[in-house]
Amino acid sequence: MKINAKDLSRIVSKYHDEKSSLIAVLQDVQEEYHWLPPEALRFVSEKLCIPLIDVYSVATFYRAFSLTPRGEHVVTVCLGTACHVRGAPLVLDRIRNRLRVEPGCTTGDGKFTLESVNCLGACALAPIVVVDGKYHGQTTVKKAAQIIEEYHTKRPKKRVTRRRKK
Amino acid sequence: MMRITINGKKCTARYGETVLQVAQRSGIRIPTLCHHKDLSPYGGCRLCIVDMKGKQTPLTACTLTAEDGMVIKTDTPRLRKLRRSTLQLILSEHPSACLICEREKDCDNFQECIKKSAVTFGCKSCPQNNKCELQDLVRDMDIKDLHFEFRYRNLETQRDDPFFDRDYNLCVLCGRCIRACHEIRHAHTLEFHHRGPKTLVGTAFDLPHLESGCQFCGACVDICPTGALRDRFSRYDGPPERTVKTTCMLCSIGCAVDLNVSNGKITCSTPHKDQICARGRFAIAPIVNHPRRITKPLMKKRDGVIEVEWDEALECVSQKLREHRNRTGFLFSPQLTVEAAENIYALGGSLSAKLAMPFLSNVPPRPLALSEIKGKAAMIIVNTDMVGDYSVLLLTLRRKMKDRATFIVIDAFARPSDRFADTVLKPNPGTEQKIVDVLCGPGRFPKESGISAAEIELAQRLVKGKKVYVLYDPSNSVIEKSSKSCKTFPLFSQPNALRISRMGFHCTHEEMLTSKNIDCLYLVGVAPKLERKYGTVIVQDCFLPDFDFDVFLPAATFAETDGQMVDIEDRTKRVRRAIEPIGRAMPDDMIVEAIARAMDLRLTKKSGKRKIVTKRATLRKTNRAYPLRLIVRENAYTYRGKTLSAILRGFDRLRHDRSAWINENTAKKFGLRDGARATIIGRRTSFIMPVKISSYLPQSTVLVFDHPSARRLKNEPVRLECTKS
Amino acid sequence: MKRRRKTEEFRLHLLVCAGTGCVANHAFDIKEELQKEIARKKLSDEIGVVTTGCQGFCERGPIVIVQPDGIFYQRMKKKDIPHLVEEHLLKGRPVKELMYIPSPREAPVPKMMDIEFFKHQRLIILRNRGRLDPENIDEYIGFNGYQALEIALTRMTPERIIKEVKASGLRGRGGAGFPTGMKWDLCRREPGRIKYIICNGDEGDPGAFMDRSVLEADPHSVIEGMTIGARAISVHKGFVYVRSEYPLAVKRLKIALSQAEEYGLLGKDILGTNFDFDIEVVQGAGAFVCGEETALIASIEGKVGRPRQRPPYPSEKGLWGKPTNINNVETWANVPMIISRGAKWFSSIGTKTSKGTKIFSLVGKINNTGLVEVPMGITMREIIYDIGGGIPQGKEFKAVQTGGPSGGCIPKNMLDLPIDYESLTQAGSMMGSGGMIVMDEDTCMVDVARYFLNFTQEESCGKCPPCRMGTKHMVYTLDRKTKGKGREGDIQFLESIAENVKLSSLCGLGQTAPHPVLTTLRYFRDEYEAHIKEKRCPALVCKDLISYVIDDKLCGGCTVCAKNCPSDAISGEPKKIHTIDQQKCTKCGICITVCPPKFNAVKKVSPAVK
Repeated sequence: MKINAKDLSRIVSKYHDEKSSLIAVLQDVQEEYHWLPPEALRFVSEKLCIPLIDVYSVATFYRAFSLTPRGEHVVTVCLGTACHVRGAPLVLDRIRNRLRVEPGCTTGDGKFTLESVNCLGACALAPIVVVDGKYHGQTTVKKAAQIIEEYHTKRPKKRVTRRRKK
Repeated sequence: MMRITINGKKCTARYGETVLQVAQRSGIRIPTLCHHKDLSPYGGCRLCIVDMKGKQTPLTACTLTAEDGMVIKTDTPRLRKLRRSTLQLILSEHPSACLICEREKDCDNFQECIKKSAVTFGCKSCPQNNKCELQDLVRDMDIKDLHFEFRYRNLETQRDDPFFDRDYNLCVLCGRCIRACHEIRHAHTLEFHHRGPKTLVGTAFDLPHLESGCQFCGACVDICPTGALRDRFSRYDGPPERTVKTTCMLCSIGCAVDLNVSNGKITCSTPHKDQICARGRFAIAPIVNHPRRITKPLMKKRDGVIEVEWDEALECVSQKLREHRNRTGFLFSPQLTVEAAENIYALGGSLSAKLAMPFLSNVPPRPLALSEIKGKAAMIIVNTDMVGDYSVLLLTLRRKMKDRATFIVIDAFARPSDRFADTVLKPNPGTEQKIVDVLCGPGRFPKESGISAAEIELAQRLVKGKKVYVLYDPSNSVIEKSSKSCKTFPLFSQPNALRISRMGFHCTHEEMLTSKNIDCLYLVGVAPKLERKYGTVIVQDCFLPDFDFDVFLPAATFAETDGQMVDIEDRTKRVRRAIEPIGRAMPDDMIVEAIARAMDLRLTKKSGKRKIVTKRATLRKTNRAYPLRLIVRENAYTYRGKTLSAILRGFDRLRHDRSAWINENTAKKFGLRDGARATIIGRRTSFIMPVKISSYLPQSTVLVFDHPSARRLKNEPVRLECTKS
Repeated sequence: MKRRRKTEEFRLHLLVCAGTGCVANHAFDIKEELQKEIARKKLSDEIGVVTTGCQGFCERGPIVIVQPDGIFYQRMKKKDIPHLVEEHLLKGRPVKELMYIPSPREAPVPKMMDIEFFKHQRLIILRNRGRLDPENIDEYIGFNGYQALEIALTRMTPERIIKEVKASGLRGRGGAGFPTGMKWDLCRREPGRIKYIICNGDEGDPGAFMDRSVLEADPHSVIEGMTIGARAISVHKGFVYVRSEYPLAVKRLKIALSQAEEYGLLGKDILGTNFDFDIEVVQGAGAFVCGEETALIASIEGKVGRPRQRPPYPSEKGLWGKPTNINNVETWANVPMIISRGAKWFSSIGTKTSKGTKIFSLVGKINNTGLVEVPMGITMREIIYDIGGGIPQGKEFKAVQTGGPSGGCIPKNMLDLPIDYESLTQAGSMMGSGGMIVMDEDTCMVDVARYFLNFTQEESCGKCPPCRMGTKHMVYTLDRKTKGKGREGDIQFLESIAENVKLSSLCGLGQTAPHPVLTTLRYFRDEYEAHIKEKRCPALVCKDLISYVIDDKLCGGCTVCAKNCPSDAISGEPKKIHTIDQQKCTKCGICITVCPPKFNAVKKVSPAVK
């Protein structure tokens, strides 16, 4: 994985090389690459003068960070309590069987990453499936399969690395 | 003084003490797993829970600061139940066949059970068997069966690193190794990663320790309560029968070590109270028990080298010495006890023989006076691998100075481990003194150093208003005092340097080896490169030399010797014999005494006339024919003239000190790959070495660690050639 | 600075709810469409469209309210908009079809304040919800915002403020209910010049979203509350820690902070009183345990959020070792009202021990999902039936779960329990942050307990064995039960681990983790026993204990189920009775959803058919 030192420097310097901003820096790095490449962690560790192991420890502790590349489409199934009692486990099962991956993993063809989340706070729509940031509320087992099919045929939006103004 | 009541017993507590400390001091036992007296309180294992009057829920004694009038109970039925239950939970992630087997008692004697648990599940094959703190706890709490289903983590044992294995299936996540690594050693190699039931201890990306900045001090191994971290050399030796406190003689710091002895064998060396380094922890026992060690006298006879009795060998030696008398040259290692050195001086003196200075030095040794280092201080470390060579000294300094000291490293070869410093300056070799000058006083900005003005300014800010102490290894470069406010301390990596320099000498190593007046060489613990033939070569050592000799006298290591050593601060320390010398080896001082007896000489104190004077090295400029600069660095990882890497494989992987270090560009230029053999050619000589490619080296330099051929090309320009194998 | 349009300029205002629930239901599309349509009808000068914070009635999103008439439109679709603009905005005839209709038989309720869901609520913290644009500080000031700050800074000493907060009886809304005034006082008395205050917005309880809603709908009230608190404790730096799952809340909070600073209500020399206070927003990264205060502090410091043993409490040694006061979002939002209306007024609301109001997120098997603010002491029944409108599809109420993973389930016979800190604790649950998950007869209590335990197990930081392994073993045991492998003695086993986890865990996460199991064991023991002894799931939820079968008498042979079955487990020809092959069936439940209602032939049975 090639990392762009310039982009990373920009992210780190945004936080004034402050050690306490490690989590925020990693969040921005993840936004840039959609995952945390090891080289990027090394870079951050050096820039912020934080031992690499501490950076790694933080990156593995928090759920928001992914140390493996993610698929073209990220499917997030909410497993909040409201979703759970309204049948989210069945929905998850259905999607899991359809994609043949466990939550947290990416399909072999790199098309889908299946994730679960503990609550999105949109309980009125329970059970919720979010694909690439789009909410699909009141999902049923049947609807879940349809949603996946829809994205299966869809070409992914080209990911343009965002360049912010200086 | 505060008064607290524990289990009805009135105890006094000092300010800031925890309840656990008070209890331990008062002889009240509270079980604990994650607590260690040298580490900060953690409160993770939940075994030291106690009840405090006025609190509903139990509190951990290790984190509870004692306050006046506290009433504590440590042993109520509820606490006992909770502790047992917590321990059961711990056991549900730790293989426990070794802990609760009903036939455990007879196992050591009879091994009657054929149904041994698999190796991975513990039983008697766990290296920590009988010294496991978990075993003690299970015994104390009288746990006979397991309540919870055992969940084996099924992780592979990591054996890629030198010296120790890591089997995280046995880890109980007490975090002691992590805290030891961070708090005591400042190494930051280990940390918890992931979370919840998936939490594990490890390095970043699960890389081997070799690639994670580990110093291999072994602090984590020694502090581990279970067998998760295990010393590979002693893993099956069980708990020691006895320990003998002695002084490690592998470097000038002279750390106190405990030699663990079982069945008359030194199984390993562990720190005695304080810290030690990789050498003291992982080199001593393997050297003593080395399979290639020679423990019988040898003599060259017509039909080759054969084993002989001591009498015959001594007879031969005394005859040869009598023969050559003042045409004898004595070369000896500083890593001998003071007594051995004195005897060699005396023997040489009574023969009017020549004695060579046993170590290289460009400045007269001075004691490192730690008491002089105080107040707000800036420590400038020049061309010295503080973490690699003087780690325990660095720890002492950091502990002494707390946060009052700033560290500045000046070294063209600063390693990643030098990042402990507040700033690292990488000047062109040879300009170090100028940088020290500009930092300490009104100096000219050293443009030729290649360091930017901003970096110098940052360093100047760190120095401002502080006392400056310059630490440097004189065999690498000589730094002189540049102003009144600055003090310099040469660091000598060899023990006894101060004592031996006071005794004086007749010539240097090189002078002796090139002198035409020497017919007989007597080598004690040194392995120089012999340039010519000698009438007689007598070797007194532990390992065979790589040249011809007439007599080989098997010497005992310092672990088998009684005596004294003088450390870097000029303190005399006791060296104690832990076991009888192996085979027929004898301590050096006794061998010399025996020779004197055989020659009917009385050994009296003698000393040489020459003393060490300061000599600054000059760097020769590179040119087209020799475009690289060879930098020779002192190798502090040696024992009796041999690099530790040459005798112990682990050190080779840790140090790569038998390779010539170059950076990627140099490698590309000369068409060399990592590990390829290269000839290093200088004007006067050349030698062959494998190359090690490293990113932290500057352009156009070759770094080698001190060895006889390299020494002759020190500071000279060289070129490299790929050697066809 | 951009000129903000004054409220008075318009004849009518359309307030489009832009809480996360409505946004997920495409509220922004609705707003855009409204603006377009209004422009098309050339009404742009007369009618303003404003996005507001969460209205609370998420079930009915997206919501549009027309002010000043107070007409409440719900479940808006893009296609309804031209009609709405034409009828109501142009012709002045409210559109009945878009109004709230409680049940098919009843008449539409046009006015917001007449809707049952809103009628019973008492808004203090959420006073500004849905009536102002959270991204515009002028509107907050227009509704008397920052008045309390002015009073506190110019007319009250720090001691007075603390006295007032103490007298109000305000208790921490984050869960444990520690008296807020006392907490402030402790921190104030701590020696040292540098201190911090933190607003805990790491609302991790699944099914709870009141903090999010407050931050989204009324961020200034939190800022104002924090500034008053800072003055009282003499602090000059504050942090707001927000979950990473709440991007909208972070965005609005940041806007609010910069506006407050612009107006001199934050930063240096606030209101010319020489008092400096600064707030920084810190985002979490997805760890429930960071809601625990010591873990949260570690997280702000950029470290792994592992709690440490208290004491020392954060009020002695907190952020970077300095005395730190932590309160949650809702607590801070209460402060301005206490200062401006007085402790006496505040303490007149609520019960003897618990004063003021509390926000609950009412979710699960309930008709009116949403956010409600009610006075303490209200009964469960009032919340669930009067405000929540009861259980959908006429099903039977079974239990309500409060307090998230740290709380417990309260059964039907306790519906008349007045809600306050003590009564909930006594019932084995806790107030928690205010999640209220309603469960009906189709909810399996063993499954719910397993769900929560699985949650805490995954979210445990891994530091101490009782929490790390104890919760895991509890999950194993519960898992076994839901899989039909329950054993005699499992219940006692669960109880004994629960006891240990509760008493010897390091932090609140572990100490409260067994609550869901303990309360379900207390009130629904029979369900556990059915799982273990009869291998039967009474609620027909646990997959391994149920089977899907087709009722021969009802099956119309329409083949819909067979066509939809993903594992080809249903056989049968058209017009003939279908059967499910239990060997092939993966129990995905599709057949039951696709079976036409006129037949309704697919049934779940438990124990499973062999």
